[in-house]
Amino acid sequence: MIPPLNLRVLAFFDARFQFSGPLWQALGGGDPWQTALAAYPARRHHSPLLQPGKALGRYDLADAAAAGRVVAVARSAGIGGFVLDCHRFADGYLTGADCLDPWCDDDFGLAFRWTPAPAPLLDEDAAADDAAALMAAISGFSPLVADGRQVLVVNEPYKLPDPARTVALLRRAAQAAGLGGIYLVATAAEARGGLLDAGFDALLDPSPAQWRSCKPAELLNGYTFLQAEAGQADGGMFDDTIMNYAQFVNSRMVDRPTRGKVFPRVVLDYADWPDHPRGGATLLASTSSVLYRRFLAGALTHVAQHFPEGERLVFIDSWNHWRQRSQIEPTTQFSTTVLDETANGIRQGGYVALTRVGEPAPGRSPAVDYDVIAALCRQIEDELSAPA
Amino acid sequence: MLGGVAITGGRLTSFDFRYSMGALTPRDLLDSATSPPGRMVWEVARRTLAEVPDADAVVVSNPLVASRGGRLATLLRSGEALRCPAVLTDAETFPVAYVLPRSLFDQGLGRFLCLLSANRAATDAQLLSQLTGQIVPRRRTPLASLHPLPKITAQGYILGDNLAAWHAQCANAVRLIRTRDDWRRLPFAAHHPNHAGDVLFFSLASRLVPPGVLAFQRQVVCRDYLDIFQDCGNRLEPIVLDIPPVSRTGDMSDGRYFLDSLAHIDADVLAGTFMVYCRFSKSYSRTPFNLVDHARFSLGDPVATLDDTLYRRAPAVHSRCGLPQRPLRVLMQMSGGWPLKTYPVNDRRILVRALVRLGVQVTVLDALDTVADGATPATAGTTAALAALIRDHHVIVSVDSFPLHFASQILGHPTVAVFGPTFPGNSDAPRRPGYRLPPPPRPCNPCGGYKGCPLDSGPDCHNHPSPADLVAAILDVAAEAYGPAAIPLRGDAA
Repeated sequence: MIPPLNLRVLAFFDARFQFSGPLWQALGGGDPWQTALAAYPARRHHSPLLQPGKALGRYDLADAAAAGRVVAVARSAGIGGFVLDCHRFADGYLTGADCLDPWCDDDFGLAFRWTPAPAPLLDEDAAADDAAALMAAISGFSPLVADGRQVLVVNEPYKLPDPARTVALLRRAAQAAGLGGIYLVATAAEARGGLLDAGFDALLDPSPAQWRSCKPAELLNGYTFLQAEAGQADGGMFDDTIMNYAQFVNSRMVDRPTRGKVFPRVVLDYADWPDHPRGGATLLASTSSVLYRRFLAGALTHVAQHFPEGERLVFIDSWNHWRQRSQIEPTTQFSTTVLDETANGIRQGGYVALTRVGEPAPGRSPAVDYDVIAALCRQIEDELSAPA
Repeated sequence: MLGGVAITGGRLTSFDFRYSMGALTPRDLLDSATSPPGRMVWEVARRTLAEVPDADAVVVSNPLVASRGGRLATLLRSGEALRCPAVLTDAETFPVAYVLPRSLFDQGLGRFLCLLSANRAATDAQLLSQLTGQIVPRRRTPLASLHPLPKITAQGYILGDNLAAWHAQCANAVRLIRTRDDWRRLPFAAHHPNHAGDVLFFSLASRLVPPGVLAFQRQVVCRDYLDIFQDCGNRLEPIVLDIPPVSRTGDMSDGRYFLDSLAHIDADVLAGTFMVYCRFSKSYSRTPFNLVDHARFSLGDPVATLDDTLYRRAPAVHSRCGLPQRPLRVLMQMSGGWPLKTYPVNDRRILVRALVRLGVQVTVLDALDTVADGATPATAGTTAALAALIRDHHVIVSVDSFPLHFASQILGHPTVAVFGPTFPGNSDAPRRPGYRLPPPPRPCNPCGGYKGCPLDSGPDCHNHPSPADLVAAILDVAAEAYGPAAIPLRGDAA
């Protein structure tokens, strides 16, 4: 099932679920599923991690048939590709893409996410070598392209001391590696901050932990606060950030056009408490697969209406980040419910986008001066709110 | 999920059908909220026969319950020899599936399946018996009892009083067939008497369904909405209901209203009409399809592909204001069928004042308090009066309510549609020049909220487009429909 209008839905993918091969060895061997799932709630509000369902089970991506099944299930839901992390190892990078690549084609491609090394660690030459190693690691696979170029997501771009220099470095390295060109996506919430000026092609909503886009839910009243402070109740809620899912979804979608060319990141659930056992976790509360479906459909409609035809991407976070509870893979507890809602969301978004074909994008009519209108409305609003 | 099984000489071939969330393929059914479960049985049977044209019989699962074709086939293979026709039940008496002979469809009697109760096996067996002229047994399967059923099934069906309504239409049909030799030729009536917008959607649907597949000849309509029925060109014959429309407050369910309303329909009419419950069997906002397409499906149109949907049809109507371009005249309807649809008062004041300062003449329907902001209040008691008012203005701006649908879908007048708590795809118009839908900024619609926002419990919906967006859309659509000279010059605001 491929969505219409060149819409592509990508899912972040953890390729470490394999029991042999270079990535497995580089990460120290062992059972990757055990590593991902061996975490137990320490707080009342920590939802337990879910378990892989029987549809895919605890697969070994090094097994070609298992990797093929994973890709087939993703394709059938309407997903058009995976985004794999680039893991730094020795002088290069490993992605695990070789396991998935045999099952990819023009309709299902691979994109990559790169987290830059901390700035002081790399001098000019080392940075160039690092970029060359990165390009070597991501080339040679069925690429997921936007605007005709392979997609690379740059994570935490705000840590780059000079984003423009890094962009130039990556583009040169991509040319040298024979990629022809590269489509650079920075993880950032809005066009302000100069990342597009620095040469990035587009932005991508950060993860819930990177960008708390709405106020935390007020789950505790003063009474409970005092009780927890006195040690008579679980005080963990003060250490973690808990966001109501409905508020979170709204905050991610409201006024999107004003944020510029930012690809939506659709999240079903998020709870990174296993990696923050002493507090500081980010959690979504009261999640809903129905609202997730609407989130996904709304995101698809948005990119269909506002982005050029070759650059209509929506990212799902995630396909199999089990340790953050954000996976959309089938689970033991909920079977294929979430995956079904993913497919439904993609169908629904594709249909709605089709119904709006031919509609002029809001705010782009040459006949209307939007700035004058906005100023006039603000002025009237001020007049009405002024005391009589 | 709906299962269908084709039986060909003892060989079973099973199929799975989905209630579509956007795709329309031979296996995806348009999830029509205005169709009773029996309409889905007919459609699945029709599509199963299309897959296996030489089948002797088809088996269709009860739409109220989720059942794959494979599960149906397993149930069919277990137990005693299969009879056709038959009604398969759970361990008690709830119908699980219907075994339907091919002859039923060859004789053109498929539409009678719309009358199935889907919750009383005995009544459904009687209906099939009357239709086929054979004794229809109820065969118990090993399936455990389905009771208690939820209030709303996973398939989206709202049970409660709807169970009694579906049962009543089935029982009435059985009586009618027993008493009338000419029952095959009696008309079908869609019982969908209200509200204003819904009557409009059904009227439009009746015109869009190809004549060969239109399964209905009549429609029950409240007298309050008879002008809408007529002025929207409904092809069906009206059966006028002289009682007030059902309240929107939820005090009375659609199912209960159907049952009560039967006592107010002329006995002679009832004695010569198959009455099909076509108010909401499901929540219509589960799926993105337009209510006109929901209604078309109810009336017999399979709406089988995306090209068949309303959005792929070129608009056939075109209306423009005959007055000079300037001053621009804008008509507004800013309150809808329920409180949360109403455009927030403060935003409405900003909108009206901004337009007035730009030199636009603003008329607002049903809102006397807008005089203070420079607007002219107006009312339109009939569709004829409303049509005259609309044609007397260059652009109409309306929330999701009857004037919006009337202006955009029946007249084809330049329109700006304002959606907040409801999902635009369910009731907006196909794209055409002279139509704008400023998108609601958030994905929380449809929220189902009636009096207040489910998120913050406040009285207003925050998902309506801002006044600035609406002013821009109004001027944009005016420029498109009447030329750039129609809109106030830049800088007029100063």
